[in-house]
Amino acid sequence: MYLAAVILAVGAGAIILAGYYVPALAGLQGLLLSWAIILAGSAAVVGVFNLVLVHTTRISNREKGGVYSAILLICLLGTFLYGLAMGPSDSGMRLVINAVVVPVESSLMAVLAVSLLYAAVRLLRHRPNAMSVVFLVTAALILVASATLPFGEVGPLNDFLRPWLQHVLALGGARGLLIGIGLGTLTTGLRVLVGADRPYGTR
Amino acid sequence: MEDTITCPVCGETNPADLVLCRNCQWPLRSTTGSEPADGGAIRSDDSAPQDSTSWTAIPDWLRDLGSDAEQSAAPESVIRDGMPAGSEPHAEEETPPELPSRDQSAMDEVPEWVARIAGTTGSDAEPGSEIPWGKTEARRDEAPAGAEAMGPTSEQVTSGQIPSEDEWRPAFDESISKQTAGPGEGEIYEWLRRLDASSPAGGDVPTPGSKPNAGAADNRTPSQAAPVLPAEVIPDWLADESMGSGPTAQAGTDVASGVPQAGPPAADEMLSDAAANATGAKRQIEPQQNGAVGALPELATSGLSGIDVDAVVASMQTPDWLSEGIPRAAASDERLPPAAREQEPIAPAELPSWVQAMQPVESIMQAASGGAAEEAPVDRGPLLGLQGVLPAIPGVGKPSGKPQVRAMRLEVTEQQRARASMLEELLVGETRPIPLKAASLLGSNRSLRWALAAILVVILGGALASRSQSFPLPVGIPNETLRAIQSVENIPPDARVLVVFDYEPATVGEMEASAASLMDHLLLLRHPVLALISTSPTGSVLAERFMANTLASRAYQPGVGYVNLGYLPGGLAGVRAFARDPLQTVPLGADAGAAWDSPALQSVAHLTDFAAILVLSDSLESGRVWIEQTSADRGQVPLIVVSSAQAGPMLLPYAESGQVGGLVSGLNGAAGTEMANGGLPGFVRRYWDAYSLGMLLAACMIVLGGAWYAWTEIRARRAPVGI
Repeated sequence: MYLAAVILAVGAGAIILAGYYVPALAGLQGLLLSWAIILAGSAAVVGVFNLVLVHTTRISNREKGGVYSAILLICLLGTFLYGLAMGPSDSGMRLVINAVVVPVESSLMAVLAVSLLYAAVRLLRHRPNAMSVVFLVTAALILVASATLPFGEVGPLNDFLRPWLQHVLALGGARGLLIGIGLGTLTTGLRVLVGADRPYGTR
Repeated sequence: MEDTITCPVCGETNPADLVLCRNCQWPLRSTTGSEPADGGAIRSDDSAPQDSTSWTAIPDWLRDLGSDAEQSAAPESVIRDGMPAGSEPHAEEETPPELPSRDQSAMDEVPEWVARIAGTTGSDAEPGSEIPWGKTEARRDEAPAGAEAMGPTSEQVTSGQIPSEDEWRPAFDESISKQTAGPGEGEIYEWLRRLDASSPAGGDVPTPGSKPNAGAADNRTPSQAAPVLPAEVIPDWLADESMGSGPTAQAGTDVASGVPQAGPPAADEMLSDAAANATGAKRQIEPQQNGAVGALPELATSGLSGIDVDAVVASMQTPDWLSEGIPRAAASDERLPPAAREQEPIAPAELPSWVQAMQPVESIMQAASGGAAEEAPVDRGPLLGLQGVLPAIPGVGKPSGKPQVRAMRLEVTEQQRARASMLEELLVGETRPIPLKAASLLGSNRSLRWALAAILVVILGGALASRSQSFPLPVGIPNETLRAIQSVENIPPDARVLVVFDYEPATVGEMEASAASLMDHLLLLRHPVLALISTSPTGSVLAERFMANTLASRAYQPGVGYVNLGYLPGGLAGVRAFARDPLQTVPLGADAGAAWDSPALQSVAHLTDFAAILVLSDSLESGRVWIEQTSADRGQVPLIVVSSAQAGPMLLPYAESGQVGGLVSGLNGAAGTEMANGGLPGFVRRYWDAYSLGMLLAACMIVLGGAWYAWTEIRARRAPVGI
């Protein structure tokens, strides 16, 4: 069984890889990718069922917070049924999104903004070193350069410093990160293809 | 068969069924059986007299001995070196040992005193010569002269010419009387002189005071040889013990221990010793003969006759195996020195009272047990009838139940108690943790967090609510943004444009404001038909929201102006599959209808059928997936990315390398598109004051806060240590 899993994983990876270079294998590549899409969609459904099961168990066991689990299940079931019936373009469905989902997540992002600011303010208290100073100074300059002052832009700041920071420092760093990501992805793919890495399970 | 057997030693008439003499315990017959089978340990001689009358008149033991005497010289004799005949089933097949020959050389080894005992007067017999164990048979046959006087010889036995007791008894008594007369004075001195000459250090020669049978110790095996001490070195107590011991004790002790006897030998004493030794040895041999004759040494199992056996036994030392079975308890006390044997009462010491008080256990045990109770036999239980059993003490060995609680209270004075309390406080104070003073320069952390949040909410909320436009939009437009605008403007009218909504509801505010102007510019200029798709589960709903709210002014209707293809699962694989074959990968729309069959998308079969691909992404991953996985299938179709300010710098390399047709990054990049779109729809302008003010506030807070904490840190380092 384990050997069969290895053969399937390596074979599928090799076919997908070869599909980029061999047009004859494009059809087989597409078939395997379609299977992957189906499996991924099924995984989302399985995740939803798992969520339902966990909260149902919590309610049946009368655990603490069971009321919230009940609210979650009710909302989940109602939204699911309503979305299936009316579709995502329905005004009621948009209302759910606009009145619940977007404000909640946006609020979390706002809290994140405050937390990041707070962490930046206290950075020198916890880590008073040169790198922290450099980090804070850079962040402050980018913030200032991203905005405009009431009396207009600060010429050297907006015309020179911000582009230089974005297109030299940030771009160089981003390229380095992307190259690293590409090499890591390539290495991981090759290791999976040769069977060195078995993310699908080890003996 | 006769009904009685006469003991050849004491002359006691015994019933024929007795094995031992009831008077002297002398064996009356051989225990190995009177009729040994062929191949047995002891065989009957074929040359034995056939006269049944004379043969049956011989006692069994004598007949056996006689038979054995004839067979002992045979090479197939199985009796050798004390090895039991019965224990050697294949003894006949083995090579017979070299038995001593019956020549005169063996006779030369017989000590003189042994020869005298046996009645022989061989001039070549030297005192002190040893008779080896293996040569005892030879010695037995080599004393015929003395044997004639003492009793029937083996030849007489074997030939059936056994004289009656009346015939050999007087000669025997006469010989004994001669022997018991002992050596004369001249012989003693001559013997003593030989002792001095031959063994100055006290060798094996008998001392003047030693008994003749002490010379028999010379016949012991080398392992049993013990130095014979001269009379001068023998302590008095030992000499007294030897002299005072009875014949029985000597028979039991001298043979076993080999301790030389002191004192002049008397004739009767010699005889009694010899008889006693023989009796003792025979008594030790007897039990073993019952089990196996072979357990006896050669001498014991060989057929010796009459007084010859006594003389031999008296002239030899008993080996260890035989001496171990001899009880020594009777002689143990006699071997003690006279001082030790004296039973003078010793007055008990007068113990002080405090010493007597230190014997509680003993006194309790004496009181509890009592001597009489221990000596009394047990009258019940499995030890019934045994004496000396420790009596059962009530309570001992039984579970005592719950132990008694004994309160231990230390009697201390008030002063001592006060000092103990003080010491205890000191010890507790040493281990008590001392809380450190927290440096609350800006109050609590929670207060700072709330303060920062309050500042941002109040100021930014006020800016949004006031709809102020104090902060001008940036003048310059980034190059990547310009390319995005140009790409949008290059889209042919009424073309199909694929719009990917890959952002989360958390970034709706930023993403909608960033993409609104570019989308509005696109819709305004080219009126494309949009195909909406998302790799996020909430993306399709956000797309509907975007079209319904942000672009509401363009009045795009679902199914006509745009088609929502819904959620594309599979992440990277899904994007790759969609790029290869959109129709097969997403056959249905978000409303479960045939999306590709709608009039809006009828002309689309491949990715290249779209005029442009517009990706709205708030993360590097989703933007990178769409850029990389569609590059091989989109051909010359421009891919324009609208990203959040967070993902913009990471996607900028793709824009710089030409893989992306244009990039609008965040609100700052959208300001350029909005300006290019004539300020429509105005989201950037609406948010710009709050955005700029928030950026400035954040920068100020970071600078001020960092400076404050840096100063406090420097001040703390300059402060003296130890406070």
